Amino acid sequence: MPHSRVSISQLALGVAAGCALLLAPAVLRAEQPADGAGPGAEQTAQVVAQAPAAAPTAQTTQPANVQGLKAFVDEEGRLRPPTEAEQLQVTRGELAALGAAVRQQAPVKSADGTLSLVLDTSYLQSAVAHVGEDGKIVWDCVEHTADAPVQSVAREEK
Amino acid sequence: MARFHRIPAFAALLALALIALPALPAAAANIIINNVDAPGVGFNDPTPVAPIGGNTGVTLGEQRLIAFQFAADIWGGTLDSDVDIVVQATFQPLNCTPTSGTLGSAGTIQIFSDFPGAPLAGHWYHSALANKLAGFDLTPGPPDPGLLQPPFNDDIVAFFNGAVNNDPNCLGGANWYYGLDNNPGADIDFLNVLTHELGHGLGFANFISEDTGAGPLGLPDVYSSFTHDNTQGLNWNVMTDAQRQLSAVNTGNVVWDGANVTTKAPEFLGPRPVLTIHSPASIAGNYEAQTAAFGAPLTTAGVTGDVVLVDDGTGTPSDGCEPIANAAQVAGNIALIDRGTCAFTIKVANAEAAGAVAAIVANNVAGGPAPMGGTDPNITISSVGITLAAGNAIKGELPGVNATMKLDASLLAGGDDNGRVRLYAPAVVALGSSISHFDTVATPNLLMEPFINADLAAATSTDLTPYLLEDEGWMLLDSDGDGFPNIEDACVDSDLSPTVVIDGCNSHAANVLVDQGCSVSDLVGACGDSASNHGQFVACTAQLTFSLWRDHTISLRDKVRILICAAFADIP
Repeated sequence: MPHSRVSISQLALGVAAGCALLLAPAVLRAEQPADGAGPGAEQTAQVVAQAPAAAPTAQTTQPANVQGLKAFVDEEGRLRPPTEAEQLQVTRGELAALGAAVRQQAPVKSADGTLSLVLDTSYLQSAVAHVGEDGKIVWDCVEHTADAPVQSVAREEK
Repeated sequence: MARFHRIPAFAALLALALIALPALPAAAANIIINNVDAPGVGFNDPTPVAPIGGNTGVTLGEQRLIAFQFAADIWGGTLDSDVDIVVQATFQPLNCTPTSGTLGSAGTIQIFSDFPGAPLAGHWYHSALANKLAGFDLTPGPPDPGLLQPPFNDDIVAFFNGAVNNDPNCLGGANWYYGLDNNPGADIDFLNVLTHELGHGLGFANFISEDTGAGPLGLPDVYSSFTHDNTQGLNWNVMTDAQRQLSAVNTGNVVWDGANVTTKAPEFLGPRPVLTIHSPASIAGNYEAQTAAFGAPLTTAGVTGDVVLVDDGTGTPSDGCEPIANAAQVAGNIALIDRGTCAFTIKVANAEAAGAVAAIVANNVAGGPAPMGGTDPNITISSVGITLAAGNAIKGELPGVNATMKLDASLLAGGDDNGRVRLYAPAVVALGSSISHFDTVATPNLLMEPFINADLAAATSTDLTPYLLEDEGWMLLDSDGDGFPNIEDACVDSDLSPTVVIDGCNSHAANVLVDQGCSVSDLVGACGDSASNHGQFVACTAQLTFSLWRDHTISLRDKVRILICAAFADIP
């Protein structure tokens, strides 16, 4: 089958680990807030995955409809484990990578007037699960949009 | 012999003349799975497994495919379409942590507007629905060669997380439950998740970005044409982007404006929980309330009492997370507690321990009522969640607030005051959740709420979802053309012969349609199916015809004619 059998999670972590150390200093400079970062601020190195011919680049902001694989570094530029929210963001990157072909599609107007558009993966509805306070798994439905913060525990019991 | 589901109560039979029935051709929507997984993984995983919950697969891949096909058949047996629906499916090891992870993703691959047969010009339609309305495949050709790969002939894509597989590093070691009986125990019910996600792919979703209000290429969609804002008095397809942005967070005031859902809502939604404040007059009236998942169920009689704000003497004293310090005041009254810090069950348990007869939890954020989830079998009092605004109104008048928590049978739990079903519009936009789901206040829970609940059973009911799809343009499958869609039809393959014929004997009695899509012939056939000897068959038929005659469904002459044929039939 045409798609890779390599675990995308492994791919994400592997690529991210390889690139993050190279990119981290630049990213740290680029993303350092002017006020010196607020509490809990975390630095992110982004590896753009959708343009394999181009060298990986770090971005200060994430443009709309551009999703990529991420590595996570601490304030000193060392790799650190991603938070749960960040890991879910990685999932979004995975889906975006899997759906790279659809982002190249332009709307098509047929002779009979039919207008068609292939949607990118940001339009998918996703079921996200979490383990609740009582140990039971609950899940909710969210959208894969790279720019959106991952929805936190939406069905908290507090 | 007609396939017979169950015999209705004869006393309630209503006669309908067969000649009035339209003879409509019907075709179950054929949902084809395009398995794009590589050999040895995902849907092709050869790991041996034991059959479970009616799923006879003996490898992991087989069970996944069987469960997937089962969900596909649920929709295929619900919707009528002459055009195949191709669902591209894959199990990918998506990201997962010990406490959270993505279960799966699904949606339409392509959208269409202004196609031949489009009911609304300039509106996007989901691929499968557009094909059905056009009457032909708008993107004909073989299934796509791989996951989201050109030429995009497939209609729906569905990803599922293969990392959910007893791995302690993924959701605490949870596993997918591939049984077909909605009995997952502590595992994750694949059937419910998949049925929900396929519902989105078939049409239960808009294409509007709720945070900007914009649609692809500036066009609205068919879902938006039924999304109505009660405050603005407009449907989403005629709003500006700014109006849609405003509406997306108009909690409680965005509803589905489709006739089929509204008509069927009373069959699926219960009475609405309300908090009625009797005094003081300045705040008297009905307030929105959310029942709790624990404690005594609310009743129509309800619980009446004076409202007392709890004080636990610690931190935020009104959050009720510690034993109640003002128990003397709370005892015998309704405890008012603020949301936050601890679980709802802890708050209500503390109120009960202080002697409260019931509890109200006020939300600590704007929007809807506090959601009141949780489990504690030791709690025996009733409790409800209310909105932040209602909580503040009550606090502003304490002491001296007298109220009743109850179920209002004149209103629907999950509907507006006009009976239209509410859509999920939290105060803060939740992309993908907002608007493209029913509201979480619906009770009992609905399949297409953003949070899937343990009490759902997609194997037996997709509740209001098919009617929403019908509003959008889908036809509900009616295999026998008796006017009862299969999902409502107790006899989906009715014998609709004009007269009752038993084992070749034409009784010349009118074969009328009775309750729930079953004809007299169907019911006689059921007698034959259940009888172990001829005497039992005749006795059953005699009882049946007597009931039908008594209820004026058939004449005395037809009753006799049917019995004569039954007596001479070689049944069983």
